Amino acid sequence: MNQEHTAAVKPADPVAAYRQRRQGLDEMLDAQGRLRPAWRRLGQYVERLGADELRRRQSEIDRRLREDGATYHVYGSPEGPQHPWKLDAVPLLIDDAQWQSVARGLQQRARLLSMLLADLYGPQQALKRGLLPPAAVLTHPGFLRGLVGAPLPEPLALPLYACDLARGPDDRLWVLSDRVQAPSGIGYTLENRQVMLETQPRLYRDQSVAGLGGFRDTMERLLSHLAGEEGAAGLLTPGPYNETFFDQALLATYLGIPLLQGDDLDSSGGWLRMRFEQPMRALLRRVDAEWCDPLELRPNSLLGVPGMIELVRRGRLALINPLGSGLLENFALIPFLPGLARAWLGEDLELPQVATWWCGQPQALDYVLANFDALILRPIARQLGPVIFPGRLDAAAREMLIARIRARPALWVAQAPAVHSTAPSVGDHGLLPRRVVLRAFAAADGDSHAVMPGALVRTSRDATDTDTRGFVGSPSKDLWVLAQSAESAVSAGRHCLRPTPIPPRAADNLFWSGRYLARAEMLARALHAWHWRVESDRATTLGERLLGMLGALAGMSPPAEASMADRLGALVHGDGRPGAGFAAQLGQLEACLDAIRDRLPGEAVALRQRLTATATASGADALEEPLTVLWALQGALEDSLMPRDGGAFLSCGLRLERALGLLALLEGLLQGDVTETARLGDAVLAAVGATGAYRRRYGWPPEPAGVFDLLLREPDFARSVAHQLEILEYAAARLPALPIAARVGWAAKVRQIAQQSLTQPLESDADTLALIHALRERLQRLSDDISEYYFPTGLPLQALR
Amino acid sequence: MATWQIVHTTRYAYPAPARRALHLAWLQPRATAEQTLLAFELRCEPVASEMLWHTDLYANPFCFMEHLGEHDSFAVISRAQVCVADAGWPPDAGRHPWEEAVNDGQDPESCEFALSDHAPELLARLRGYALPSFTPGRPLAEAVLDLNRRIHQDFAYVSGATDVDTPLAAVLDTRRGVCQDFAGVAIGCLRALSLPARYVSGYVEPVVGGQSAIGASHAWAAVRDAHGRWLDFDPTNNAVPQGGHITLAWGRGYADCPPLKGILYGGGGASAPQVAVEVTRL
Repeated sequence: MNQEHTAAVKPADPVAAYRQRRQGLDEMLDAQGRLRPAWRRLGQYVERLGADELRRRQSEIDRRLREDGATYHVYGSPEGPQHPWKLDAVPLLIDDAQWQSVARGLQQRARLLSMLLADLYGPQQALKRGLLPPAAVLTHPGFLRGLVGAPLPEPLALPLYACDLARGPDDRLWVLSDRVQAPSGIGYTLENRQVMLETQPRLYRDQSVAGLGGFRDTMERLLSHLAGEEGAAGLLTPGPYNETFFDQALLATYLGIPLLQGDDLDSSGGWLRMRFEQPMRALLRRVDAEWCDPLELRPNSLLGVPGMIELVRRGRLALINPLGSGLLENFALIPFLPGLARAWLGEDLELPQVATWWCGQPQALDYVLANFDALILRPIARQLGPVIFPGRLDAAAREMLIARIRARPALWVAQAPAVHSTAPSVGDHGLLPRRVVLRAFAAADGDSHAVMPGALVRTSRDATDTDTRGFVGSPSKDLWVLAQSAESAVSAGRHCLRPTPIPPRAADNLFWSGRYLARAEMLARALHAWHWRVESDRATTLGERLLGMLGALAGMSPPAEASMADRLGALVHGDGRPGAGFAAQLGQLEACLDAIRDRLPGEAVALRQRLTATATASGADALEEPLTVLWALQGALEDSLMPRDGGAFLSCGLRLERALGLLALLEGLLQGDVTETARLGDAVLAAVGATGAYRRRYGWPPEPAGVFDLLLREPDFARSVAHQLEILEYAAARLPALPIAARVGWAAKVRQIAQQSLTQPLESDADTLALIHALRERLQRLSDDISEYYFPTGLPLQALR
Repeated sequence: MATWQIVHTTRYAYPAPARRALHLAWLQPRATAEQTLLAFELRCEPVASEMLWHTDLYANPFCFMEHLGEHDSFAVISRAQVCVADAGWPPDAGRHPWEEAVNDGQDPESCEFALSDHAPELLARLRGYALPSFTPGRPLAEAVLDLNRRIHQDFAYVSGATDVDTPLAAVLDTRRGVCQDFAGVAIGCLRALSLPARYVSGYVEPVVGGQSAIGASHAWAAVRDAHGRWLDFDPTNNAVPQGGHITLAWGRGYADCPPLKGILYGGGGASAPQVAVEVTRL
């Protein structure tokens, strides 16, 4: 660190300064400190830009990622779980020739692992012929015995393959580990590329960089191959609290497939279905296998679908990657892969891999114990525990570790510590060397795997850090494969997405996004319009009545004994109950929006990020900013979400909630002292933003009959109940159509409600009150009906033994 | 040679209706060298929407059942007629020193059944319990029969003392359990010595006055000798099966072949089933 700061004397040329800072093997500079050929153009470009401009570019990238809501969640992190995704302004460059040889090595490895997967869940020749020690496989928690004999994808059992690579001292890229259970990072890689394209267009264009569009096509072909002609495909996610949810949402959007949680699906009747939709025959799986089927695996899991394994067994569902493929992430396999490659492929492994000793072999264990402090120890499965550096342990901990290894040697491997190369990253004062690890991806395409000509690059926190776990939270990089000529570079063009059906949970979240949006907006507007009225009327009952109406909108009653200012504050900040108060309503809105990240228009994503920023600062008298954002968000959502893309659910929720809120205000108007009605009417009109409309039409001061006429029955006034019902009818008619009878039903139901509200004579306050109650009850029933019909059943699962 | 008829009934009454249910059942007696299945029928009430038979990795048959539609009770009734040879162990089985049967890490079947999931501390306790029976060079058969006898003697059969989730360590502490626990202790002891052992689920001939788990299903253990032959033994009854044990399925433990397990949508909370097993000599 100190070194970095002392070197920060405003270097005119960032490359020259970097030359002083780097230590050892570097991606940009060769041993003599010259720019490597692939980096020459970028080096010149960076020299021209200078450190200040580089930093400006970096802020531009940071801003873009914030707008996109790009996050990576870290559990138990002191800064809270949501971390912003970071991307470094300087890409990592690799020339096409070198990348081609890496790609060949990855193809070979993916083929070998596909064969191994098919063998271990099939004939187990590798065990029977002594190519693999049985204990190395049978002790691994990723070996799911219920899947032995179940069909696997063909011709390649492992459809998706990811591999972590780093450059070793011999200048070659080495395999650190295989990622096959449910590899993450494709979505982040696509996001990185898009942001680079938009913020560094010139640099990108000058370089003839291989595009990522072709890999997207490969994945789409793979999905349709596995789903078959009739089947649909989706992405199974653990949900918005998962660490890589952003990656998952982005990948689903990019591939045009629905993002699904377990309770969006069921296996009724022998097919996996989203309610009312065609069978889902291929699932990109981001839920770890052991959580996927509570019938056969963890009985308490709520993330999976009961009966999923049965569908796999019957050949009716392909998972990418297959359940049980986590077995291939077994570190104990590494030392045996070269032998398997020779036996099965007749080839040597093309990519070097980190030297690994499986302690289940007595000679290996002896070696490991003799060289203990110089090695890295790790359980054979990630879920069994983290990497341990024996050299950093005290004597007691070291002895304990040795005892644990001796007790179950088959569960441990040792690896040689790897020294990775560095690459330049943008720091506060120019370029800094950071260690880099690449995650490369390959997808089955016909009878071999196609390798993505790009990768997700993660960087270390500082120049010396070698513990890859520490890479979490430090910036990522985009890998650019530089083609020889412009022709071989494929553009990363945007693709048009197929409309995807709305999963039950997404429908639920869209509907409730609408409801919370309207609820928060009406409460904020009323607070904004009334806070001075409440404070100035503290001696009268009017203040109390306004507070009562605010409480109805906020879903809570503010503490009676507190001062008016405190009571107003409580309406903003809530009383700790879920959904009570403005801040909690915003929180619920944010949670709903985050869960449908894949369906939101870009501007809505950016506004959702602004919502968080405004919500924290606001008090009852400072609601203008959140109100503005809420209005903009409503416009962005209602205008750009087509009804069939989920807009119908959003509009139904929004209009229904707004009608309910208006009814609550009108009810409040009826329940008072007659002498205060004019002032109360004035307040209600102000809270709805209807003062001008009223004044122009009915004169001033307001009369109750006029207020009811305008707010209840005037269809041309956009903030009336009648208008909400018109739009509700329109949206309800566009709710998903299966079965058809129900679709007709929704709109007809709304029309009946609307007719009742327009035609029922209002002779007395009692009539009006009765109508308000009847409308509220019918709207609530409509909401319940929509929930029951479209949303997850919410039935508790129960395991029986 | 004995022929048996088994009627095994499991009934659930749910506090609230279940909308859908999925079950897996290891209830069909498997074919073995000593055992022939003459007739078998598996029936559900209400009738299942779908019943599909599969074979697991140990070649046990198992059935997947789905129930669609609301139901507030559920019963599975299996009827089987099985012919069992009364041979017992082959005379030359397990005559070799027990050390020769220890898993050498090369044979996949031996590894599958010799490797233990237990924590090192529990394995040490189990080894400590087993070693008096497994003196150096003692023939495997003799050592296993001694272990069988000691478990039967040291542990009390107490119906309802444990359930399928009771950890083995608790059984060792209390020295009480049911047949699954007796089998679990035996298997744990064998694996603590790196001997391949498996769990066997099935039924046993009712013996008046014996601890034979009348009215319930039964479980025992088996050890694999150096020649790959499996020798069954029943620590609950201090017996070697000789025609009176009917095998349903086997695996590494209970969880590999439970007679019945399932998932309900709804159902209103867990309820223990009523289980009835009738074993009749024909």
